[in-house]
Amino acid sequence: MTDITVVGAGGEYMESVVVVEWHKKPGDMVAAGELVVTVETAKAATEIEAPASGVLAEVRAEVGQEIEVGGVLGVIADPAAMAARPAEDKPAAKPSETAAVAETSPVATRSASNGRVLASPLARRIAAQKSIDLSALTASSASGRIKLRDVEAYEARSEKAPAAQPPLAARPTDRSSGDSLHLTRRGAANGNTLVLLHGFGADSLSWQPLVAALGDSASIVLVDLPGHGRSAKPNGRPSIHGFAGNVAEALHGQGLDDVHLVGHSLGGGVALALAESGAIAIRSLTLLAPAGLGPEIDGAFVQGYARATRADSLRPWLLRLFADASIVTPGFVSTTLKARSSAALRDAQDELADAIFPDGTQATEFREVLKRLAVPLKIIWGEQDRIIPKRHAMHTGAAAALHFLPGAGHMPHVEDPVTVARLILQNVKAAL
Amino acid sequence: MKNSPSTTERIEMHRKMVLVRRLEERLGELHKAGKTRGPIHRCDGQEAVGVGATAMLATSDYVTSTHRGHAHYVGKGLGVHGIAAEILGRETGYCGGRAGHMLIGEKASGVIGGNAIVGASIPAATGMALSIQVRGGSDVAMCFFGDGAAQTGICHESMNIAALWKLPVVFVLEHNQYGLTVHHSVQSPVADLSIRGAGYAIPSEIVDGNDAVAVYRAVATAVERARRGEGPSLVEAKTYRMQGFSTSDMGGYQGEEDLAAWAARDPIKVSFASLVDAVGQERLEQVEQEAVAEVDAAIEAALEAPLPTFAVFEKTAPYAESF
Amino acid sequence: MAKLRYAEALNQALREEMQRDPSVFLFGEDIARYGGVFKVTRGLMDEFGEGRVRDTPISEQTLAAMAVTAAMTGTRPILEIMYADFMPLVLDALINQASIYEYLWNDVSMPFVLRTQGGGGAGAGAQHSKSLDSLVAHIPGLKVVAPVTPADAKGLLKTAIRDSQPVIFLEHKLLYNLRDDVPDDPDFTVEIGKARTVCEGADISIFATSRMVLESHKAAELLAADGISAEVIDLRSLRPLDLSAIKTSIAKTHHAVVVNEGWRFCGYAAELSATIMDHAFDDLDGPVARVTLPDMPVPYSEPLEMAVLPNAAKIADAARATLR
Repeated sequence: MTDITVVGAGGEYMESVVVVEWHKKPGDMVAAGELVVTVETAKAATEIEAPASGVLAEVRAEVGQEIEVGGVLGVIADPAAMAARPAEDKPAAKPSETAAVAETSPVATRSASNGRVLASPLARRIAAQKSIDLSALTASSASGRIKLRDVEAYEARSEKAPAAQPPLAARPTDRSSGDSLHLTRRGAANGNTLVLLHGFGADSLSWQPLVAALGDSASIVLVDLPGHGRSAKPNGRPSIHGFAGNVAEALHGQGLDDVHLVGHSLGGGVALALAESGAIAIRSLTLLAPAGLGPEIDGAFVQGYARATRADSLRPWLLRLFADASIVTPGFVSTTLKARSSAALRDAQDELADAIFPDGTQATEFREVLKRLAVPLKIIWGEQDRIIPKRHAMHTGAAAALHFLPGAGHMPHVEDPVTVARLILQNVKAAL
Repeated sequence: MKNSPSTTERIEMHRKMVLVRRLEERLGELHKAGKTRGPIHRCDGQEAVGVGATAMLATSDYVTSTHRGHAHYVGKGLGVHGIAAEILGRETGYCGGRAGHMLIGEKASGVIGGNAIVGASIPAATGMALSIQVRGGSDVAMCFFGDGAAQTGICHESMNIAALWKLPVVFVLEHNQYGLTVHHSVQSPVADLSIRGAGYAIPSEIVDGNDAVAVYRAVATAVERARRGEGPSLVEAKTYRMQGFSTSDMGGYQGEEDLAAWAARDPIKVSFASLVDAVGQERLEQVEQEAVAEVDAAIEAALEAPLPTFAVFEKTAPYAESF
Repeated sequence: MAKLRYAEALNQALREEMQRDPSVFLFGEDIARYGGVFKVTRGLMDEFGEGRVRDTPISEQTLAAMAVTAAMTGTRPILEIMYADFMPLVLDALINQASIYEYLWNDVSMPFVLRTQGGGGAGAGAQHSKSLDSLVAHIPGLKVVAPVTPADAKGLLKTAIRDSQPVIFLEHKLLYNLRDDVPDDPDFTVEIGKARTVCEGADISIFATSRMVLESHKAAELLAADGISAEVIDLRSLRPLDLSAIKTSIAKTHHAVVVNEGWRFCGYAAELSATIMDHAFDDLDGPVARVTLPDMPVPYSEPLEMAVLPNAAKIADAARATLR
């Protein structure tokens, strides 16, 4: 029996650590020196290696649990001894080790193909009381179902919007004067400005659930990156730094030089490059599964997604984006396909992929940039991200707060927009 | 020890047997006329068991019965009107029409009660005997059950527990030869089920179930034994079911010869013959006529009685708000 | 107030009620001389004698039927059925006997208590690990309680013994060693039909029974780390159910998770879910989530058994899913 402890694992200045991730399950074989558990010491992650070879017999500290330095995180046992132990002596298995058999009631179908609006009973009742037409509402939930918060958000917007002006949600787009980047304004008319930078192959529409969840809590600017959505293909060879320059220019053109940045995936890398450049004053930075924190990325996804021209070839890649496969309904696939129907757009993105992710590798690295930033920082990652490994969140310096969202894949802002919105607003608040 | 009925008691047993017989015959007619609901399980030919075995009991003693319990009800002191009205689903029935003929119960008379789960009367009486023993009383609990019920597991369990704890219970096995349509010989390898008593150290006796006096004597001995705290006894009363399993029984499986032989030994005839010298034919016939008239009047009154109105039973509601 | 184990709290309740009322008596397998396989009845035969604390033959079906009629005739029997898995043996007594007489017959009461214990987690295998709550909670005329704290164990058992209706008292084998404050006051009782709020919350209500209350409380802590405020309600009384507590909580949180260690299909959690739909539909802002045992036997080997048992992580996952 050998205890896995936090002594000598970078914890000497700390009184306690928090377990971030177990890389082994009880019963798994481990070799001495192999990574078994990651702990967080005052916001810096530390990887702890197995002190001996054997079987991980026991996990004493669960993910999220705080444990004092010197405390026992787990136990490695001799496999032969494990087999010989009577059942009574075995430690009780902890919940997280067991197969997830808890099922929840299935969420209603997201496809409203029959024209019926999906809404919770409470949302229906309140909407009826307030004479609000449910079909005018957007669901903020991944379930696609209109909930109470959507009714409340709609009502709040209706009350605030001056009569002479159309609702913000429906306001005509402002074209940027910069490098022809397409910007869309949403949310409140004033207040803190949140700039949202989408991921590779996406566009500003991908923020819709998050925008709904944010409601009127901030003024939101959605950017279509070069070669995406309604923004033109970049001039010259695309690069993350080049994109950052385009975004800075577009924001300057709108008089926006003091913003809170949110970037997803490729957009996260662009946000980091923008922060590095100092071209714009950045109040806070929230990164969702960002690019630029390590070399790995699912290259097959990047290529396959960029090139897909049919539902059959697009669907498997879309499935890889999400933890919850039920999001990828036929309707979702066809809508995505429609948005990507332009061959020029697909070619541009293919070219972009080759430039930014050559040979399926992330060529640009911002980890040191991140460590130098002095603004409130949050890194949010879906526990089940299959595109960029969540462990890229580690080794990002002492200041970044890490949030791993259970039940989410590479699209946490779609799969859990409420939590993501709450975390973004926390970050915004921390900057004030 | 008193274990023989007086002449007065024998006349009363005769009267009650005629009450039961008339009730069964009238119920048969009413069923054919469509005035009853559901099946009715008649006990024609078995009256001597129910009436003879209960004749020595006090009101505070308990009787548990079966789906074929009219003789047990009448024997233990229930009135014919309350029984008939219950069977006809009337408000004036013993249970206000909620129970029906298989499940009549009247706690004040110690009839608790009819039971249509075959065998369930046996642990029911055993539990009452346990209650009596814990409280320290001298009452007894008596269960009626048939040769079909004797094949249930709870029969064996109950006899074992009753004997182990010397509970004041009397097991009256009303052996009428049939479990629904299946003859006893196809249900058990032994003809005399009372031999099983030996397996539980329970004194057992076989009696002629068509002779009310014989039933009385054997049961009275068992009752006295129970009151003295000496534990349970088993009385196997051999009798015969004359009218099929129920009014819905198509029949055809009971032999004509058997029926004729048992009809010749009808318990009312046996009782009449044994009393006629001591009491006189005239008096006995008068008793019988009065009994018939009592039943007829009770049934007429029951047919006139109001039907019950439905009310939700709050005490079994699943939410605390209803309490 | 003393710190007592759950089993000791039950023992104290039995002792106090037997001292208070001579018509209370106990019977069951191994309960008298040995003191019960879970030691709940320890020492009671010595104090009250063999007449009131009885070891029985292994005859559950008859014992339960006897409890019904003994209760109808002037005593207050308390029957121990060693494992909830044996409850199918006593169902005739409950379904065809106990449940009907109060309605059918005049002036009948049935003040008996049937104590049993269920649940998994102890490696007892497929015939000794079940939670068959729905089997008994299904039956009109019975009350069904499942305390999780030692204080509730004592208070509810005393109330159950004094009740005029049959009470099925569901214990859990993993709760007997739980130690907590228990009032000494012999008049301390806990009302049947009242739920207990374990912790208050604003975002989601978790309604749980028996040991699942403890797991739900842990789940609330996991959810708190995600910024989700969960309210945990220990139903305590499975029948009659504290409907107003359920409605009040859902009116506040608009989301519900129901947790029961029994099977899912036609299970107790299914009833809770349907009850919520019947009575709180228009307050729901998301689907009711159910966390239960899967519809299969409870396996023996530890990783297999742990895989089927509901736990805090599964409950938290269900809560997150329904909030999504």
